[in-house]
Amino acid sequence: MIASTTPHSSCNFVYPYKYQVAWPLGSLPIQFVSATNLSSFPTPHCILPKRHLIVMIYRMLLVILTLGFAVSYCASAVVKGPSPPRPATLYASVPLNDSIPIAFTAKNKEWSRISAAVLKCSGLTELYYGRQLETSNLDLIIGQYRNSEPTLHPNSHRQLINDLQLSHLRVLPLPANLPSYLPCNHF
Amino acid sequence: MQPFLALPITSYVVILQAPLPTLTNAPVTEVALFWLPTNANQAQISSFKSAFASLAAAVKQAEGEVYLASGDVQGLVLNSSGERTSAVLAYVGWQSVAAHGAFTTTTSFIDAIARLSPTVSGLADHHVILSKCF
Repeated sequence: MIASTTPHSSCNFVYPYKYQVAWPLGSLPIQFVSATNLSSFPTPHCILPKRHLIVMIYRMLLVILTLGFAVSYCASAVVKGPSPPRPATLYASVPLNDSIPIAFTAKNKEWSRISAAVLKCSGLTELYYGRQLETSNLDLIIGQYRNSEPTLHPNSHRQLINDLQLSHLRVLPLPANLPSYLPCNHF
Repeated sequence: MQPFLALPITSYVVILQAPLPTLTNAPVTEVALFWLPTNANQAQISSFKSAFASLAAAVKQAEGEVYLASGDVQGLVLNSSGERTSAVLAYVGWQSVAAHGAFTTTTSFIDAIARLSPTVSGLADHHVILSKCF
């Protein structure tokens, strides 16, 4: 083992000792502090360069990680695009009068046509309609609004339901001209 | 001439977590309305959301389930006791009412509903065969 000393440029002691270890295929330089020189282990101002290096590496890692996260976030945002607005749906339950079951089946179709006309004007793009199986006197309406948040203005929504109720009352007798029953600019 | 309506129409605007699926893809749709406790605090809401998520996960694993869509009802609504509270509505498509019935006998449902029940002030569940008007 051959010891060689390399004085640090800013230190008044020999640091670090550079040893060359005899190796079968040559020599491998290993740096470590000799036990005999522990007493002269670097004073704070001498440690500074090494700490500087660590701090620099740490900062570089931070920058790299931050940039990495930023790039991956932007890339995912570009790929996915803005998150879609959450869709608004209308759910309405229509309690029917049990006392008119016979007329209901035939008239109900007309009512659903009227409802559809009313609801389509309100900005719904899809409308589902059906009879509750358990009680048979409750119609359920499920609709998908064209616009998501903000949803239908509360006043418009209230008006829509009022018109639905009016249309229910008007089913007997049927309105003569359904298309003109409620113009879409009604809302 | 008699009115068709026995009671006024009840309507909700529901903000779904995901777009509404094509509801007619399922032969029968379960419509479940969950009323939260009145004046629920944040802990109660969190507890409900967690229990609801467990139930939803169980439903999605169920045999005969076609789709599940759920969301918060906007504003406050009347629960079965006539109290104003917030609510969550779920649409679940099933292959049949029997398929839904079979699911309700499974341990995953029983466990999930046992966890959910204490977190709500009531629930209403209907089945409906839907037609698409437009």
